[in-house]
Amino acid sequence: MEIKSRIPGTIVAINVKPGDSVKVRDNLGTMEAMKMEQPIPCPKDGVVKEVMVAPGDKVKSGTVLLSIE
Amino acid sequence: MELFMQMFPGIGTFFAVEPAIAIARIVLIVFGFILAVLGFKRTLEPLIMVPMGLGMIAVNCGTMFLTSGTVGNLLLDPLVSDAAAIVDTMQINFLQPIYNLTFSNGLIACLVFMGIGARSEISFLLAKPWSSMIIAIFAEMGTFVALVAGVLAFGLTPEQAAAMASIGGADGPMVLFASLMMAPELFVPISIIAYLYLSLTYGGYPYIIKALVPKKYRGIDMYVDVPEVSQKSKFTFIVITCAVLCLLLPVAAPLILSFFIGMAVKEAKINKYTELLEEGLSYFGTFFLGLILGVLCEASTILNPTVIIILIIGILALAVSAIGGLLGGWIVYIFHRAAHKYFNPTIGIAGVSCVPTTAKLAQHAAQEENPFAVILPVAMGANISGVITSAIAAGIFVTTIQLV
Repeated sequence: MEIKSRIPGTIVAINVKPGDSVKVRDNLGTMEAMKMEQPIPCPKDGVVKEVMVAPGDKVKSGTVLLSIE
Repeated sequence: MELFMQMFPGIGTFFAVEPAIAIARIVLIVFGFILAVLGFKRTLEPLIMVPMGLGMIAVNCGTMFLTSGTVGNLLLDPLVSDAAAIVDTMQINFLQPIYNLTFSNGLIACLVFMGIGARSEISFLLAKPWSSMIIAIFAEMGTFVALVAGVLAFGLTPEQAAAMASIGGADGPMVLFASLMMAPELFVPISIIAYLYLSLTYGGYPYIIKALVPKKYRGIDMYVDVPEVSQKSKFTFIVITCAVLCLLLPVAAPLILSFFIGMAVKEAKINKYTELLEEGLSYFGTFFLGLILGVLCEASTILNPTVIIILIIGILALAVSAIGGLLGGWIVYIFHRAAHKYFNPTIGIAGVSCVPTTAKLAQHAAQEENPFAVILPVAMGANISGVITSAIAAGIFVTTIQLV
């Protein structure tokens, strides 16, 4: 399952790495949009498969941030 | 005693003025201290409140005997109006040039507005233009209710009532502008109270949201595709809208130009200008705005019976605007339900146009109930729409109020 950015902004932090098991509502990272920090909540239980972005990256709305399976 | 009063005029002047003014001075010193501390704690907006609090303290402490025999200070005299006297005062009072050359003509408000423009993303507005506009119009409700209340209940002139009611537009620069155009005699108290209230919305509005939007609706998530509008069409839209609004509302042209020039340099990717407006001029403006507002809170200026009326009308206007905005949110929600789509009524609060505070409040309220809810883009759209609507409302007021 791919987790996409919902809003254009900048990635501030990514709290997980591939292989980490995550639970629903875990905070996967933080992004900043319109001068406001927003959490990246985890939509379901699983294992992080891939992280596509790094802190400092500018993302558009719809950019895939990470994938979970 | 005489010698003591000469040596420490700040204390001595307490005994040389009417007791009412002396007491007001002490009250304002304490009040300034409270504002500064609340700014420090982030309870109120620190960018305005820290300079404002210190300014209030300094002006009420730093009173002295002037050579003319009167009591005054070396910071600012807002009441000088004669041209020659202004030039003389500018050579003495250190904030006088800022006040006369940037504050009382609205330039400082426009500088802040350029920064707001440079921060605004027009594509959010284009994502849901009709919803944004409906909400923004409803969020002007406070302005109109307060205008009517001011004239009917408090017996104000339409100009004075409209100037006070502009607080309901929830846009600091707009309030400065409207009160200068319509009721310059009340400009000082109106602008102070407006900024005081605007920083209170941050604390008060969440309660209004919770009262009017039940829990399960607050967490509604909504997926919107922020349209990928090309830079060129965004720029064209900005330029044309600016032209149309200036054509329709020449009195609001300074504000409209400031806001749109901010957006235009951003879309034109003139990064140095965007940086200048966003990081430089708008902070310069905000800083001196706070400082001047504080220094204007001088005991003898502020002891004005209309202050009570402004306090009442201001809070009425802001509360009714919030309720109106949320009502607009509900109406848009109903339309979306009818079409089997989702809409979070909390976004209504963002129609009240203090960019970006109210949009953030909407996002916070939604996130509190549902961490997955992302309503910020739509809320920003309503927010920007709100700014434009407030500018239009201010323009209409200024033009039509003389006809009443």
